[in-house]
Amino acid sequence: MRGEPRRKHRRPGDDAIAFVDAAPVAIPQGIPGYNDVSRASGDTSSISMSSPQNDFGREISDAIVSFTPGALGREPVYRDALVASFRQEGNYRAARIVAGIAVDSHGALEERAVDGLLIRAHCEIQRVSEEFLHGERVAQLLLPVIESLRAAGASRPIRVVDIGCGTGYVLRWLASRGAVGADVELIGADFNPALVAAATALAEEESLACRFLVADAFVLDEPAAIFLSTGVLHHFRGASLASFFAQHAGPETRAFLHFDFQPSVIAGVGAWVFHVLRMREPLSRHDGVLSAQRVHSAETLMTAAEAAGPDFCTAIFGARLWRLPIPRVFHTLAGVRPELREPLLERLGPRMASRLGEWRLP
Amino acid sequence: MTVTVIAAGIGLWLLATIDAAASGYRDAAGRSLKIDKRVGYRRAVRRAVAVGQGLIALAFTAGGLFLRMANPEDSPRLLEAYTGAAVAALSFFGPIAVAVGIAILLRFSRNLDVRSLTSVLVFGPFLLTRPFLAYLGVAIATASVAPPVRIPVAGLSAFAVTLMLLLEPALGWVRRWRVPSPSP
Repeated sequence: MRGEPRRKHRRPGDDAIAFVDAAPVAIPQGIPGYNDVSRASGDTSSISMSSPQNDFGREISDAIVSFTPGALGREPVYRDALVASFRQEGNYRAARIVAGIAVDSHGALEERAVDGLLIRAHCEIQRVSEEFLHGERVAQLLLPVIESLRAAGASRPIRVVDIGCGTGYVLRWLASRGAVGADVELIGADFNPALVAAATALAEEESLACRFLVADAFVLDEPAAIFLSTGVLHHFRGASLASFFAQHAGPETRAFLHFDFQPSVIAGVGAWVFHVLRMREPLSRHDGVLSAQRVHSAETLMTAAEAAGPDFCTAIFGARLWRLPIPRVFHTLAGVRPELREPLLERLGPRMASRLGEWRLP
Repeated sequence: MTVTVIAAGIGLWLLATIDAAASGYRDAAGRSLKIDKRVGYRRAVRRAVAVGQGLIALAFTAGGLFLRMANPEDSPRLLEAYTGAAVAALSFFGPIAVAVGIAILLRFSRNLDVRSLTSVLVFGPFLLTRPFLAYLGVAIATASVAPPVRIPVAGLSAFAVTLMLLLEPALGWVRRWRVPSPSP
C-alpha cells in the first residue's frame, strides 16, 4: 500500500474525482447543498471541506464516499490513495481504519462495505442523540418556530427539510411523537442513497409520516420553509460556510435551525469520553472526537450567517446551562425572517427566550 | 451469623443482577436505528439477566468449592471471611448503585438538562471508571478480612468481578456471531 500511485486503475468517470494535494476529494456524505456551495464559491478544483487545509484534518466518513458534483452520482474512492493521503496528513489512525475497509478488484472501496460501515456509525450516532435527547431539543425550538409560521399565515404544508439527514433520526423522532401537526411536511435530504434507503425503510416500518430523498436540500422541487441540520455546519469551512448560508436566501425559506457541537474547554474531553464509551466502530470514535474539535464558534457562525443571509434575524440558542458559565454540548444557530422574531419570542415564553443570545438583526 | 450470610449473599446477587441488566442494555444500545426500541431492549435485558444468573451461580459455586476444599476447622473462618468481604464490598458498591439509581430516577424528570446531566455526571464517568471501581471493590473486600484467608477471598472476588466485567463484551461477541452485521 505504501508508496503506491494514487490511482492505479482508471475507469470511466474517474475524472469526476478531484484531487487536493494528494487527497481524493470526497464530498462529505450527508451534506446536500455541497454542490451548490462549490459552485457558489466558484472553485471546483479545491472544493472539499474535508481537504487537508482544514485545521483539524478530515473526518473519515467524509473521505470514504465521493459524489460527482451536480449529478449526485457516486464515484469510486481508491483505498491506497486515501490511506496514503491520511498518512501524509499524519493521521495514521484514520489510515489504519481506512486500510481495513474491503476493496473491489480495482482497489476502490467497496460501496457495500462503506455503506454498511456508515449505517453502523449512524446507529451509534443515534444512540448518543437518544441519550442526549436530541429529538426533544429540536422539538422545543422547532415547534415554536412552526407555530410562529402558522400564526403568520404561512402557506401549507409547512415544509421542514433536514439537511444531510443521514438515517433521518430527527425527523423520524418528530414524526413518531406526532409533535409537528398534520400541516407540516417533514423531508430529509441526503446525498447517500444507502442512508436514505435506510431512513425510508425505517419510516415505513414504524409508519412514520416523513420522507427522505437522495437530493440536494437546497434545490428541492418543493422548497423548505424551515431548514434543519444536526452536526453539519462544522463540515463547511471558510468561504463554504458563508456559501452554505447563502443558499437559505430563497423567499420560501422563513427560518433555519442548525444544531452543532459547541466549542468549549471541556468539549474535547467530553467528546472523547462519550465516543470511547458509547461507540464501537473505530470510524465513529475517530470522527466523533474530530467533529468536536472542528466545530465553529458562535461568533463564526453568526458572522457567516449575517454576511450570507442578511435578511434573517439570527441568534445562538442554548449556549449556557441555567445561565451558569457551563457550556451545553450543543448550541443552535437560529435564524428567522424579521416578521417572525417577535411571534417566536412570544411562543418560546420568557424561560426559553432567555436562552437565546443577542440577536443580530438585518 | 446465618442471617448476615444470607443477607450479604442476597445483596451481592441483587447488585450483580442489576449490573447484568445494565450490561444487557448497553450491549443492545447503538445497534438499532428504530425509534421505538423497547421490545429489543427488554429482550436484551432479559437475556443478559439470564446469562448473569449463570455467572453468579458460577461465582457462588466457586466459593462453595473453596469452602469444601478448606480444612474442616478452617471452613467456618472462611465463611466468616466471605461474609465480612461481602459486607465490605456491599458498603463500597452500594452507594455507587444508589447514585446510579438516583440518576435513573432523574431520567424521568421533565427537564432536558437534568436528564442530560445524568449522562454527563453519572452514567458516563461511572462507566468509564467501572473496571477500576470493580477492582477497587475487590481490594476493599480483601482488605477487610484477616491475612490468612485473604488469598481465597481475593481470588474469589476477583473471579466474580471479572465475570461481571466480561458479560457485556461476551454478549457482544455472541451477537456478532449470530448477526454478523447490524442492520437497520
